[in-house]
Amino acid sequence: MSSHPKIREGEKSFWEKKSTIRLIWISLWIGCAVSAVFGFWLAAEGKLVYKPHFEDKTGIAGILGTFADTFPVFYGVWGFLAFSFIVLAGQHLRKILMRREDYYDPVPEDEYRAPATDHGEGAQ
Amino acid sequence: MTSFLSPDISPAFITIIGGIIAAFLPKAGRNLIGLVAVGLGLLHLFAYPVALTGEGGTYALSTFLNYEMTGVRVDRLGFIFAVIFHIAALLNVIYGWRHATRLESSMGLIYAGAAIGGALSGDLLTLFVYWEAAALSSVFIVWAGGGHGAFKAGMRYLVIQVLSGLFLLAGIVIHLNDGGSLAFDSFISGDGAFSELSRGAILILIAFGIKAAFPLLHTWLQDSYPKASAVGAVMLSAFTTKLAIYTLARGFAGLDILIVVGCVMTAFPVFFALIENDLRKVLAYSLNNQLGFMVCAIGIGTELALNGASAHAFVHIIYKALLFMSMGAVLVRVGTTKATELGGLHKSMPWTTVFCIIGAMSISAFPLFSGFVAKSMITDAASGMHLLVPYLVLLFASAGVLEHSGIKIPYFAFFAHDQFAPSVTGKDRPKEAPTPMFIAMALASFLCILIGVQPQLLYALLPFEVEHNAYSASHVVTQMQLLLFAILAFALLVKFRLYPAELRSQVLDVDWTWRVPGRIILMGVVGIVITLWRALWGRVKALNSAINSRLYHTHGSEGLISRTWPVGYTALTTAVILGIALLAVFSVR
Repeated sequence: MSSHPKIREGEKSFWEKKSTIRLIWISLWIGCAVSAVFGFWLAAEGKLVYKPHFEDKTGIAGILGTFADTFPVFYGVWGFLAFSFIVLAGQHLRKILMRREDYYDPVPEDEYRAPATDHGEGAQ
Repeated sequence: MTSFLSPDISPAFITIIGGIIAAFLPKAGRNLIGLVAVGLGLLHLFAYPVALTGEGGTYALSTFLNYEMTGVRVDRLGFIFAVIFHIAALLNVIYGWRHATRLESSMGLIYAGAAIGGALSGDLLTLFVYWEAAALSSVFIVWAGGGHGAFKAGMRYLVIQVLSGLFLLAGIVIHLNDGGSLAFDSFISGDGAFSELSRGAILILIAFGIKAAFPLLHTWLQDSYPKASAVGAVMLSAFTTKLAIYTLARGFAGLDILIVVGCVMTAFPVFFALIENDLRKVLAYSLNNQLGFMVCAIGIGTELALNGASAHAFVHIIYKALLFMSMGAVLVRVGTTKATELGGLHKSMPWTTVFCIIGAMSISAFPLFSGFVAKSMITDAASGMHLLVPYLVLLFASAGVLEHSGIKIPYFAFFAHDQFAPSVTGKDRPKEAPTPMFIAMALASFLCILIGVQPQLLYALLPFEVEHNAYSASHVVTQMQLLLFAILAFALLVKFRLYPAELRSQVLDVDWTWRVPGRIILMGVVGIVITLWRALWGRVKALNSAINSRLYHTHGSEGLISRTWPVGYTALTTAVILGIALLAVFSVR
């Protein structure tokens, strides 16, 4: 795992300052809210989709299709869920697929730096 | 526009000849010939009627073994791919101005030429020649990465690429034997069902599928590209897979199974990209995911979908090259592209950071960037055909693209944890990208934004007339929702420490089957053959030596026949024989 070196305060850039990070958070929340509001506006105007694409579907497909065609924040919800699923489910693939870095081309033991195993630790 | 060359001469020849000449020139000459060859090739290409009128034409017609050959066909579908291959070749020459080796400069041009020739070949045999030329020239670029790892990856790459060529050749032969035409046109008959494909067409589809990195046939890509040099990986990213996309669009547009294949291709690499540590390998998985969008569009097969596939291939080549370029610059300056070793580079490589983010925003399809204007065609084509599941999978994959290429690449390379602070390393920070790399990245970034804000420039090149407005309120709002909420998910996952840390590791993929059990089986078979051979040869040798020994015993210098006999014994024997003869004569009379 990567080492997380402590750098001096003077070596921090604009992007690492707490005030900037707070600003990014605020912008992100506002961005999401605005895009959701625009979604509602489009739905009210009947412009979310040009024509219902999935109205002939039945069962689960029918529910999802109606959701995609009519729910004003469908794309936001789908993006959020998809991203979360990829990250939360995908990391478990490591249990099956992850091997030592020198798995295919072994190097002598004393030259090898073993990976840490604390999967869950966040990147920040 | 009148060309300086006959239309019978493919633009591919110019680039290929440039590559051959470049092999014998010093660095400055190589770069210059590269620029000149690609520039002249592009001029020659734009002199074909298709550039002005949209009318396709066939040239270099000949007859070979009673088959009609069409060496050059320039229509709208081939034209857009030939144009982007030239642009990619030009970017490669500039990017490798200082760092490309002789082999990379030369083979890079030949490889680009092979891809151009493939996109402009009108018959299957010509396609086969360029198909193999692309394989053989590109393997040298993998090998130029240096080291045993690159050599072995190159060998695996070569085996798989040549295998694709063999499938293509076998498919062509069977296709011709079944009464098919040598002309390279659609193999689809009826309603595009896979079951209706002929035997030859199926083999040709497999050949195309290998190079397009279909699921389970894909690992040559992730195995080899990250082992090439900084310059080599950029060269490799453009041609082979997109030539395969072109051939699929030409031969198999509307084939139902491609929708499923494309969906799987877009979805599965996002999980591998998440846990992969080498950022260039992440880009290779990302490439696979992007190809899935194109394959899915080809499967849908409508005019809008094929426009989407072509447009996506066009913009993808530029932004994927840009992302590989930015990682190449990091590789040149830092010596690695492993996420565990990187972080904080935005402080000393700000321009590379900006270019990488432009590439990342393009591939993630942010409005005003090139990916947006192309990808919306594909998703529109899916929804327009009421294909709910493919539509949702494409949206899912769009979130995946944002995860690995939009966020992971720039975040872990240029932000995350500062690994290069002088107070930690005791050294100066890595420098900004070398000037030629900087220029190439700036040009690619410019193209990403230009196409994003002026999509009609791209739309003018597309195979079919376009009625597509990427910047409708619906497109912009829904895409921004998808992206912003996905970014919010990322921010929350990082904040709550649910985002997986990068780990030094090797992530197994399908190539494990032939690199580990396959190798064990092969070695076992080799061992058995050696044992059997030794046993057989041992028997033969034992028999041989027994015969020799007996012969020697009788006929050797000390054998029975060669022994020296005493005179008295000889005289006695002679007397006995004569006595017997005398008695015999008397008794007879």
